[in-house]
Amino acid sequence: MTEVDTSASSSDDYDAVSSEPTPPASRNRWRKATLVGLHKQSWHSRTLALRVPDWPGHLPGQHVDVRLTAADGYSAQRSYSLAEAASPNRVAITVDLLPHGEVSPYLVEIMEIGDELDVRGPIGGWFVWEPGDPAIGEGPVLLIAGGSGVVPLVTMLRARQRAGDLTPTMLVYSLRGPRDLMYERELREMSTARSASDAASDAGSDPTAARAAEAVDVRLVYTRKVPEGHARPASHLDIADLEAPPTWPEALAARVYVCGSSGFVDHATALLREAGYPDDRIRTERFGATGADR
Amino acid sequence: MTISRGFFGQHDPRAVDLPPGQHLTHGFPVLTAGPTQSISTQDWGFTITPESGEAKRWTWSEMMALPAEDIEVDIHCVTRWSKLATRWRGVALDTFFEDVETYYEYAMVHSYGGYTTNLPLEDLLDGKAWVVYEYEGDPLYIEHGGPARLLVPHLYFWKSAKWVNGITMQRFDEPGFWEGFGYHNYGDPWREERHAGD
Amino acid sequence: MTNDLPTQAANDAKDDHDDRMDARQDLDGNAAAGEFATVFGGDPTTVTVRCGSCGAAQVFGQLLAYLGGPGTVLRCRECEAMVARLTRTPRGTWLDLSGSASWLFQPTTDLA
Repeated sequence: MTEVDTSASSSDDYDAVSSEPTPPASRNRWRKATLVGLHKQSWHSRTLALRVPDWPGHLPGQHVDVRLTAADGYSAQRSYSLAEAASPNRVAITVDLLPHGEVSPYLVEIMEIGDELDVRGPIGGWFVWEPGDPAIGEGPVLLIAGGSGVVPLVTMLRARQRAGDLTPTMLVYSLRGPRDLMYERELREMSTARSASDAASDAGSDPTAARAAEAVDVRLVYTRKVPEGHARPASHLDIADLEAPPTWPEALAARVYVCGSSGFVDHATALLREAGYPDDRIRTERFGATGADR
Repeated sequence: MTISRGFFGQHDPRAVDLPPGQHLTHGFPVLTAGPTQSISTQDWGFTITPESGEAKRWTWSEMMALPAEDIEVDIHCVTRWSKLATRWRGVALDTFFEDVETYYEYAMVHSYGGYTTNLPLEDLLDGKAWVVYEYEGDPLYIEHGGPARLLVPHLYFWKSAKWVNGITMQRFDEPGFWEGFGYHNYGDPWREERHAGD
Repeated sequence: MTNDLPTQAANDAKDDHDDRMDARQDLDGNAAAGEFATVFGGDPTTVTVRCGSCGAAQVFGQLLAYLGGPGTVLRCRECEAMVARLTRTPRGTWLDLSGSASWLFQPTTDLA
C-alpha cells in the first residue's frame, strides 16, 4: 500500500501503546528514524531512505507504520510498503503524492535529510513473497501493479535478484502515462537480460541462458498516454495482459500478487478469475487515502 | 515521540479559540466506519419512531417541502480537527418533531449501513440539530453523508450521522456505535468529553 | 420540488474507468495489521476470519478496513457486516470481535 491513513488522532493516545511492554515489543514499538537519503521516482513520488537503529529486518511485501508529530503535539499516522529488501538499520519507503493528503505532501515535498519521524514494524505476513515458500514451489509468480502499487512488488523483485532466485516471474505494471513510471531504469535492467538472450534460453549451461533465467518479464500497461515506440495502445488492464509469457512452463502462475487502489485490485482479480485462477493463488493489497479531503 | 520538523498536518497552526485539544483544519477529512452508502433521493426516507410504534416517515420530496434553514456553524471531530464557519442547508429537527408525539427523552439515530449514535432528545431540539442536504451551496457529497446527514454541531461530529435514515425514541439511554466502544456517551467538545470516563 | 439531486456517485459514473477505479479508496486488513498486531502479539494478516453474519471465511488481509476515525473497523468482504473493531483510549485498548464466528491462527504466522 502507499498512503494509508491509520489515524489522525493525538499522539497521546499512542504513547499508551508504545510503552506497553507486551511481547513482541521489538516489532510493535515506535522507533525514531532519521532521513538519510532521497531519490526522485517520478514527477509525483520519491523514495526516502531512513536510518532506524535496531530495525529487526523485514520480508519483501511487508510494510511499516509511519508517524509524524507536529511541534504542538498533533500527530498523523500512515502505512507504507517497504521499498527495499532488508539491510541493517535501514528502511526505505516510496511515497506517492496525494494532492489533498496530510502526510504525503510532507514526505514528498518538505522533509529534508536529517529530519526525523517515528516508524513501527515490520507489519504484515500475508502479502509477502518468501523465496522457497512451498505453496509457490518453482513458480511461476505473477506480479500485478496499479500505479504506486508497484512499490512492494519491486521490493520482491529486488529480493529475488539478490537471492539469485530463478522463479519465472512477470511484472504487469499499469500506469497512466510515461511520467508516472517509477523505477524506470531498474525495471529496464531487470528485464533487458531476457530480451537480449531469449534466443539462447534453451542453451543449457550457457551463461547467457542463466542470465535469461534471472531476468524478469516486465509488461507496461499504459492507460492514458503511451510513449513513442510502445506497441500496446492505451487502455486499461485486459485479460491478454495477464497471459503467461511463452517461456513459462505453464499457463497459470502458482502465486499472483496484486497491489493497487481498491478499484484496480477488484478489476485485476475479476480478470484473474476469468483467466482461470483459483482464489487461493491470489494475494492482494489495497491502498488508499482514508481521511483525505474530498 | 519524535517531532518532525516542518510538519503541521493540514491544520492551521495559528491560534484560534477552539475547544481544548482541537486543531484547525481548512480541509474536510472523510472518515467512515463502513462502506460509503449510495442512496438515491428517490429511495431515501427519514423515519421517526416514537413509543406508540406509529412511525412517521418523510420521503425526499416531503422533506424538501418542509421549511429549510441556512446554517453556519463550527464543527469539531473527536480525531482532533475542527473546521470553522461551515455552511449547510437543511431542515431543523424541531420541524420533524412537530408531527411526532413522544414522552421519551432519549433518541437513537440510525443510518443507512447500520451506523447508530445516541443523544438526549433535548439536544436535537430548540434549533440545535438539522437534517442537512447541502454543504457550501452544493448537494451534499455521498462521502460526507449525502444525500442527507444529521448535523449536531454542539457535540463531537461522530454524533452528526452520515446517511441518516431515522430516529427511534427510547425510554432509556443506550449507547450507539462509538458510545458503546470507548467513546463518551454525550461528547461535548468544550468539556473535552472524548472518551468514556472523561 | 426537487426529487433527484445529483450525488457524487452519479458524477463519478461520468468519469472514465481509471478515475472510477481510483475513486474507490477502501482499504484492506493489511493496512490495519499494525493496530491489531499490538493486541494479538503477532502478525494478524494470515489469520482466517469467519464472518458471524454470512459465514464467509477470509484471511484478515482481505477484510474491508476503515481507518482514521475514532477506531479501526473491519468488515466482511462478502456481506460488509462488521467482524471486528479496535480503538485506543486513555483507559486502554478496546477490542470487539462479536461480529465474527471464528479466528483460525495457523501455526506459522510469525514472520521476519
